[in-house]
Amino acid sequence: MTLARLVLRSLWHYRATALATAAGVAVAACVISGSLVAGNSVAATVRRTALARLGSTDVAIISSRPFGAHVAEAMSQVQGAVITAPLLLRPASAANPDTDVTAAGVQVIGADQRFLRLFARSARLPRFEGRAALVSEALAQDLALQPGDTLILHVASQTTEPTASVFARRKLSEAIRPLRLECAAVAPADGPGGFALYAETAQPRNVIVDRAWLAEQIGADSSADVVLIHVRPGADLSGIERALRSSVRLGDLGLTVAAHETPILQVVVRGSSVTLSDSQLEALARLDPGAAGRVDPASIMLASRIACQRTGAAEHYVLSASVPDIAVPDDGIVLNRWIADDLQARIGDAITIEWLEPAPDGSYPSRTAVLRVHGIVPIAAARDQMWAVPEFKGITDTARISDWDPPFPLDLSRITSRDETYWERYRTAPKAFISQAMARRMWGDGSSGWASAVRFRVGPTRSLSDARDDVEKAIMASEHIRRDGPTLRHVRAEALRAAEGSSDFRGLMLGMSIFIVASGIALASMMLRLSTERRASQIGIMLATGLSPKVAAVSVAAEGALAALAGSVVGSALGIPFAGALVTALNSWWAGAVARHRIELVPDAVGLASGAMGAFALGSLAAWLTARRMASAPALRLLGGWRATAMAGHLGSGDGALHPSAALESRPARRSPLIWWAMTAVGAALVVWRGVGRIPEAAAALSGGAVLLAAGLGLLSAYLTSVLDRRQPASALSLRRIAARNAALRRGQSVLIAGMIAGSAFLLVVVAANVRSGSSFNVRDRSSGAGGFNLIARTSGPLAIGFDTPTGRANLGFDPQDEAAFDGVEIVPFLISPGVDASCLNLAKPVAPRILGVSDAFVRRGGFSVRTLARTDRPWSLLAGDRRAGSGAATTIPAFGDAESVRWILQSGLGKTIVRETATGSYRLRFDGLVAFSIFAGDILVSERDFHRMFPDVRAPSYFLIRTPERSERAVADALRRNLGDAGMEVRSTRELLIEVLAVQNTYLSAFLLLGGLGIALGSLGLGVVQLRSAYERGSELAIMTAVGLTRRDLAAMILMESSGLLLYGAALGAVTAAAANAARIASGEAAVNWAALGAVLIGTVGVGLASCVMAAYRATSGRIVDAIRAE
Amino acid sequence: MSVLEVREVCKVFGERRVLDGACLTVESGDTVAIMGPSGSGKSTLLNIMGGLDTPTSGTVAFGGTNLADLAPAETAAYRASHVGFVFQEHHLLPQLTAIENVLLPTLAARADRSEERALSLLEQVGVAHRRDGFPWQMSGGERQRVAVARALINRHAVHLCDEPTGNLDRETGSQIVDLLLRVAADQASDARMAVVMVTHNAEHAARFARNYRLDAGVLVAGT
Ligand SMILES: Nc1ncnc2c1ncn2[C@@H]1O[C@H](COP(=O)(O)OP(=O)(O)O)[C@@H](O)[C@H]1O
Ligand SMILES: [Mg+2]
Repeated sequence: MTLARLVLRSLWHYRATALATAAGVAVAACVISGSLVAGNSVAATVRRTALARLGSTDVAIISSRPFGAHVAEAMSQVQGAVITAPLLLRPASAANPDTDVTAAGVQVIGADQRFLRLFARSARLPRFEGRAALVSEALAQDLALQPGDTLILHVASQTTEPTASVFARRKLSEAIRPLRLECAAVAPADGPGGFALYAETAQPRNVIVDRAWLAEQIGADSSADVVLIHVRPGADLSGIERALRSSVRLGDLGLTVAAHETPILQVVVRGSSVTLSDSQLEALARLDPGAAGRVDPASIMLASRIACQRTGAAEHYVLSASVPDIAVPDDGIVLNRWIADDLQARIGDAITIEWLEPAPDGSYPSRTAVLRVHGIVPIAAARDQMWAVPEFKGITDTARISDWDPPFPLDLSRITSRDETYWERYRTAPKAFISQAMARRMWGDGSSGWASAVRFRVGPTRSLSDARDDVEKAIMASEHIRRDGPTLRHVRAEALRAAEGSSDFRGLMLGMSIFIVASGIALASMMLRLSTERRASQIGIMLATGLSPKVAAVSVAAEGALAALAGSVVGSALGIPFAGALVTALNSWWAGAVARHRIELVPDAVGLASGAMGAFALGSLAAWLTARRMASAPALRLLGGWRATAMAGHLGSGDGALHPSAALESRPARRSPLIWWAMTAVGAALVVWRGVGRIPEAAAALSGGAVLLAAGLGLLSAYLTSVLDRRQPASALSLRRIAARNAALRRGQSVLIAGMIAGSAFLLVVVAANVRSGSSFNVRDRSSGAGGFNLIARTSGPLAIGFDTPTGRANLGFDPQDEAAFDGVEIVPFLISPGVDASCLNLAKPVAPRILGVSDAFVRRGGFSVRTLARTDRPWSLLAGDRRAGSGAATTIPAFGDAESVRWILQSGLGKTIVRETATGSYRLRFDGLVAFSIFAGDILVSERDFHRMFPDVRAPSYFLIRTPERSERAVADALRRNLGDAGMEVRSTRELLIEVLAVQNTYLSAFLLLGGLGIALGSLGLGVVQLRSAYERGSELAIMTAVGLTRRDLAAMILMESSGLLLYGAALGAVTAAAANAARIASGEAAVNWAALGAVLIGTVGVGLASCVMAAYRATSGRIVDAIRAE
Repeated sequence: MSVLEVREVCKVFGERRVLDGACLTVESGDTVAIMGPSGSGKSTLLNIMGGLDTPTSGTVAFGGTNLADLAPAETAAYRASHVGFVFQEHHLLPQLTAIENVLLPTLAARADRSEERALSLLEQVGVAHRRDGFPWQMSGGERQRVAVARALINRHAVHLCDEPTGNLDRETGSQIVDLLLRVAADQASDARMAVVMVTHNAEHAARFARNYRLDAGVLVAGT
């Protein structure tokens, strides 16, 4: 007889117990592997979508301004570039003219057939030419479009001027162009219809049209702003990088370079808009174009009126310039002879200069300044300064002033024939010269650029054309400037990073099912314990015959391990159907948790193996611990059976004990119940202190509750100890007392059972208390998650004119009848950057999260609940707070984020930083404040000032928070949709958004509740099984009770009392401590506790437990009593 | 007056006919010893008499009532109020002290749960000093005495003792028999207690009023 043989024999002999053990381990294995497989399936879906949106694109050339077709051409020549597809991407809104349904957030893709070749599923799509467009599945569905239907697009026209410039065309009719298209076919979502550069998980609303046609329609020349490139696998990307370097021209960077011989030899750099941007200017100033000498900026501005105070004469629309060659003091002005004559001005005269400043409401209020005439220059000198004047369509290209078509109001009646003569003769020769400071002031002091040109003086030893080449080379060599133009982006690599997913879905799924795992393992370990206990005397014999405790333990543990092995193998195979069930649920009831993605089951061997190994490890560990515990008891005791062992262990050396070993046993250290009462006090204090605010609410509630729970279990343990200790009068003997003794005898197991039930009930109640209701939100409360705003509005692109004032609305062309609706309405605009949603609504990892620019007005207004490191009454002012320069090139910018998103999605925290790359550089965002659950769930907030640095191109808001009186909410929303529909206006209620974000959490929570409930039900069912088995163990005991005349009902009642006592105590303890810990939360009404569901789960759980105990009791007492007596 | 009437009781286990028409009438105040080789069916007979088991054929009647006609709960009540069992193994509940074990049957009979009576019984069997001891703290003899005291607590009409002395040394064994016989004799004459005891010990058997031998499934008078 070998040890192995003994193990196998015992396994067979106690096969029922082994089977139950295996079943418990199998449940655990099934659930672990199933959860892992389901989590893997979600991750695989995220990955698939993240990559599918790119087709076979590997890298892309992307620029914030359109660039010439030659770049794409150069790319297609590169070795290894298999497909190159130039695109024009534009935001738009779309409408179905038949139904008047509109959809915002549309992406227009100007492409050619090469684009389709990037996608496998596009072979059967028709050619798109002219008005024939391909419409993505999502958009076709939203607009109910069929092939052949007409759709109207509103696309932003090509703009070059920054919106804050007086030269910007801000009128909606000028900024947005309607296009009438025909839906030629529906593009599949897993083909070109799903194309998106950014990894947003929502299905994109795409319209694909011919690029050349689109460019013509929106006035973008024949250019592209993106080139998608598919390279041969393994191809070297440096070829593309080199080709990009050599193919980019000045125009692609938004610059022109010209050589002038007058007034001096100079090379002049101008931008594609009237002014160079601040960053361009900065970069140009830093250039070192070799022999080309000093760098001087120049500026031009149109003064709307210049009047001489002494003579009263005035002239309108006067081109004024600040140039390096004509020095003017800050409060002075130099006139050219022409205007000096017209004004009859003399040196020293006071001149009133007026200019228009674009206001956010679309108006152009006049500003004035008074300057002294500092000098008068001949016209020829003025003509020499024309290099400073850039071209501007609608002005510099007109023959007469009366043909001017400027964006600002032009009073033609002010234009005299003498003005026309000047224009005819001298064109853009400035009439007046001002200081640089004055020029900056007229340009609005930094709200947009101010310099219209930069000139490089050419040294005497250089030829002009050489100097020009030097400047061009220097510009092309400047990384700073190049970053503004077409750059190479490894979009596939980025997508792969995003594809890692925003959360650990495997962990999430496992977490949701953890209760089932726990109850499976608990069941297994209780069965193991039972079977080991049953064989206490066997182990005693083993020890008595000289086996070492270790060998005895190993042989018993090996038996359990074998059962666990069988269970884990079978269980992990069952993991696939369990994962299938989870995936089915995620595709239906729990769709909210995965943002309505269609999840496909992807079985993975690693998940299955991990499940099997995990469950096996847990099962064997339980077996080993049980066996070791038993084998370490004295042999003599074991020979007397486990009950004697347990009793002796408890009572220690009894009065006149007959077992010699008993006398040697020391009494186990017994803790006074006082300690548990003390713990209760500590727990209660923790819960109550929460109000003081020293500890975060959730942490206090959870830890306080946990301490209370532990104390409750400690008290139970103390009570059970006292049950055996207490010398009550024997006449008080009752079934209840015997039941209590039984529970007390197995104190460890009893506390374990009660603890398991209590812990589960505790967690269920905590989870239920964390389900938040959307309908109970008071969005009008400033400190709520809506900050007091009830509407949220977004346009597809920045809106250069704000609709927050009556003038703005009028300038945007609102129907005057709608004006009444805006009475008492507060509108707060926000700047919004490109980037993705950083909330749980986005399953992909937000590699470049969306940033909101917060205005000073909002900082002053405040609202929402913000947690900050430093205590402050005005948390939002922290955004404007201290900016320590970070290490290296990165600058640290104070930012706010959503508490949950920052923690779970961005994996950062209060006071920690994340890095956000933009076209202008790499920025460190430090979370100085965390906004409690709010409409900003997907956004990171920075001050407007920091926003401008990060995203200088985004100058106007496209995100608006609106607070309306209750009665006009609808009217405002309707008016906005009606009047700004072309701008892609989308209006939603903040409550709706909050509910949407909540839905994800709540879905997770309710899934957790359901799976948790299932787990506990299983646990209590297991409790029944354990009871049944242990009742069998106690067969002879029950038999003797029968023999003395107790009925089966009496015995069942006793068994039931024993288990139900533990069950009910555990459930009540867990529920009550959790409820107490979360009392404040529940009372606040913020928690939408679904009492019905929670009650059902708890009562169901306890019910299942009781039922299984009843069954166990009846089964245990239904056997033939005689056999039980005989068996002893 | 006959208390327990065993008529033509047969018991078949599978192919084996263990009891084959056993007959026995137990009068109140009777002391009956049953002997027989191991496996002859003595325990089986006793269990059937106590309503713990049912005969394949034949009847057991208590005070004129056929046990087979009783519902399970009534059978339990019958045991609780009329039958005291003493087994070869003591079968004490380990979680109860000596005195609590003695009081156990009172739970079923919902009878007088006075501690004095239990204590006096423990005194009678000579283990009063162990009243608060747990079974595993006692010697085999002490345990068996507690078991006897437990059988006596409800003043049953019949005591069925299945080799109560089998595991005991000579002296303790005869003390237990003494006890059973003395307690039977002590009972008031109107409710005299009958004792039926299975034993292998001829010496013990000889002290009983009537002796039977179980042979080939039937009870034969004499040793
Ligand atoms: N439940 C049972 N199933 C099968 N055989 C049984 C059962 N109970 C008793 N027996 C058999 O009946 C016979 C008589 O048993 P028992 O009454 O215990 O004998 P005794 O007490 O005289 O030693 C034995 O051979 C035993 O094997
Ligand atoms: Mg026998």
